[in-house]
Amino acid sequence: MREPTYFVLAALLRGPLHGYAIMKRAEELSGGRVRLATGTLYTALDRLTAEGHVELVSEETVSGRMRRSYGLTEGGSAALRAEAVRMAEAARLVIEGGAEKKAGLARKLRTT
Amino acid sequence: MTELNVPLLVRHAKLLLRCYPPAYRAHRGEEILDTLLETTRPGRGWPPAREVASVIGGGLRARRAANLSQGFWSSLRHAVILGIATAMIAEVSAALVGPLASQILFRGSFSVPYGPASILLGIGVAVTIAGAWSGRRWIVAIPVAAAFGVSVAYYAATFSDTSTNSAETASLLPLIGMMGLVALVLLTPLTRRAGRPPLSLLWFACSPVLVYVADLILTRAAPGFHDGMPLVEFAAASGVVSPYESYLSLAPLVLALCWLVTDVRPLLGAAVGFAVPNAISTIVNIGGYVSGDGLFGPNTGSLMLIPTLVATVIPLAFAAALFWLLRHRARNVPPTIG
Repeated sequence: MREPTYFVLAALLRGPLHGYAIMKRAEELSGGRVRLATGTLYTALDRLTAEGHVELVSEETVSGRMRRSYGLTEGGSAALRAEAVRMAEAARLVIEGGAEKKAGLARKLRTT
Repeated sequence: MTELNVPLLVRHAKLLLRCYPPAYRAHRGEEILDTLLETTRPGRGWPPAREVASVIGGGLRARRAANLSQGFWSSLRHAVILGIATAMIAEVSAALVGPLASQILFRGSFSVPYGPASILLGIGVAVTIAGAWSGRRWIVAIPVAAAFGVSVAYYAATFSDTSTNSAETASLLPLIGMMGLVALVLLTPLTRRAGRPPLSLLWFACSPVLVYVADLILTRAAPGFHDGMPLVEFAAASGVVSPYESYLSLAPLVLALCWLVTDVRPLLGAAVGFAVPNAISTIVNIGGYVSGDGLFGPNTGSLMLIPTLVATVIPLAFAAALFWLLRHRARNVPPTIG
């Protein structure tokens, strides 16, 4: 799963959002790293809808224009969780590996 | 956002939305417009450059998905129809545009030996394309059969005539006739279930331009190559090719890139349209070469054989590669909205 897709799904964890709100939430969650543009967002939403990860939740008219809100499906939540677990395991490999290396180095220094 | 700038921004944003295919716009247009307006700072007439680029990219992707979701055989059918139509249009436009340009630039010093036949063929081509586009077989069959019949009759009538103009006419009309026959054989089954292809007329109109430029480049690379297109001969002989060739080449190049992004079918059509007349020239030329009398004169057989073979094989190989790409991509495209 690519990072923008991950953060689009993560943006919907708290509940359904409309397009612009998804963009802002994804930016906020990623600490400003993922800044989605409009075209990219709707391409991602098309794909995620087709894959069954995201669904249309509501439609409303705001200032004479259609505004749709999207929410996570069960499949989307599961895919997001699976990706988070995978990334956490990958991160642990590096972080714990680094910690072990540090501990080993400290032991070595103490013995000398 | 100031009141004064709102309509201008909305107008520009709506203009950008035209990058998306119509069905997609009908479904998502208002929603994307709303998001685009939200991303634009107050007082600006245009969305930020980053947003503009992303909408253009998203639009092209949506067009590509819409085109590929048509399915492989439907796409192939449309590509072949477009290719044959392109080949025929290239011949006709060469015959009609050549003398017109000659009238304007050289005050009529250039004459076309088969003007009336080309006008007849032009009418036939227009009807054929209309038939192919609408999916009606009988509309396609009548003009191509008529073109074939007329060309055979001309050929029979001028077969024993040895004067230069008649010889040229006699050599060109069977070529057109054979194209008609190929079109008849291919188009009739192809239009069986053909609906209106999802191609805009702009793309369609650009296919002959691509074929024309490919011919110009080939003529320049291999001066012995003339496939009987008067415009190519006229351009090469009058010297107007050199200064304008680079400019002429740019537009189709850009369009070709757009095609590759959105839809490979027009490019396939142009490749097929370029290959079909050259394949026919090659077949006829090989016959003429074997019998010692090439189609375009007794001494041109060996000179023409290699370029025409190259001109036939390269676009066909190119088309085959793109067919593969189209088929491969068609499997991986998510369903399109609309």
